Amino acid sequence: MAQAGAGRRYVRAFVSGFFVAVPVTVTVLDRFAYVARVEGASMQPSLNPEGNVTGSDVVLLNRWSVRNYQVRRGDIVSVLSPKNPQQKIIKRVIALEGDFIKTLGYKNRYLKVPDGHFWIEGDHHGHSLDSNSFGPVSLGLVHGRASHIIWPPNRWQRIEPSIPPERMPLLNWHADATEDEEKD
Amino acid sequence: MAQQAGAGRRYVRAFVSGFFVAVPVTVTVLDRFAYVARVEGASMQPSLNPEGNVTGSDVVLLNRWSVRNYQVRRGDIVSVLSPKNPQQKIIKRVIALEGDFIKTLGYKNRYLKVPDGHFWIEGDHHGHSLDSNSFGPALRTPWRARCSVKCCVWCSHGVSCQVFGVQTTQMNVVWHIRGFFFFQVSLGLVHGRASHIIWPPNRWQRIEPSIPPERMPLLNWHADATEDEEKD
Repeated sequence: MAQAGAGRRYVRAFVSGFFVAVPVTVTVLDRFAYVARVEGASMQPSLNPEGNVTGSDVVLLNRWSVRNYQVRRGDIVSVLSPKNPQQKIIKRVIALEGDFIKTLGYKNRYLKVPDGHFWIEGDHHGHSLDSNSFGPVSLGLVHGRASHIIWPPNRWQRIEPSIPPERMPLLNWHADATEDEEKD
Repeated sequence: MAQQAGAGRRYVRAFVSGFFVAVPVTVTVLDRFAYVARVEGASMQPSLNPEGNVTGSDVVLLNRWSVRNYQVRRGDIVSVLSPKNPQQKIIKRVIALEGDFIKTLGYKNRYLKVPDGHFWIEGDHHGHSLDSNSFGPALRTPWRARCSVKCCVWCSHGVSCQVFGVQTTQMNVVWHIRGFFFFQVSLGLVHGRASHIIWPPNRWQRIEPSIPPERMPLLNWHADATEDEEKD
């Protein structure tokens, strides 16, 4: 086995490995999980509580759980911005299709979320560009569900769905009253 | 060279490793480059499905790479995740982009500026005639009305229809139904650009962007006047 042959074998192994690794990586990032740094203060205090002073939070985005566009109220999700599809925004899901909600600063005081849409808000009211500015968001724009904070290490945690009590939907058109009364 | 058991195990290993390579490669190609879809329905006649489902639906090639930065052009036929139901994809023509002023057909607002990050799509199908036999005795004067779901075969998902009749003879009125399929859609919902019709073979063609002259935007807010005047 001459050195030229060994070198050629390495190149071939590298190239074939490359052509396997790239589609596998692309598929994993598109379909399963994505990692993203959170910028801005719109989700304080849940995300980035110190601002950018001590470094931004990095979250793990679960893309597999939203493959059928199934989000739950209280989830933190990443969404393609309706204002600019090249940008992703991370906000909390407040209401789903059919919910009646009271808005904070939207053009209409009360609103029924249309079919195929949902309502997102940042936890830091007043410092957030969210549905109160641009209205209900199409479900097709949802990108992933933030499941864990993975950086910095002192903020490792699983993100649990929760809605501030004052932001709960008033009622649901489809008579799904589980968010008002929990019967066990 | 090896025994049959060894050869069988080698085949299984080759199959499994090939499988684990082929699936991500296929998924990546379908997600990022090209997609093939069958067109259903009559909303894009006569450009797509001119015969309805009689002779078989058109199958189009959707170019996903060209829309990776959400760049669509006026006149393109694009597939889009439906704003009403994200599990469904709809194929329509791009009429206007963000910043365009357009005159709408039957929408709640007569004139509209397409917001940033959105675009305006419409189906090509602008009318169909039905005989008064479908509707019973004819009226003597033309009238317009909002159609009900029963009488408009293309009404779906809250699409607006107008039914109006034109009296041709004393006893006969030809009913015209104009169903307009229009949406103002977020750019993030765009899925792919229909570049070619690939089935049936007698309809092989490249799809060229074109807007019906009466549906051109009136002007563009960002003073981009290339669709009004072409300077060379």
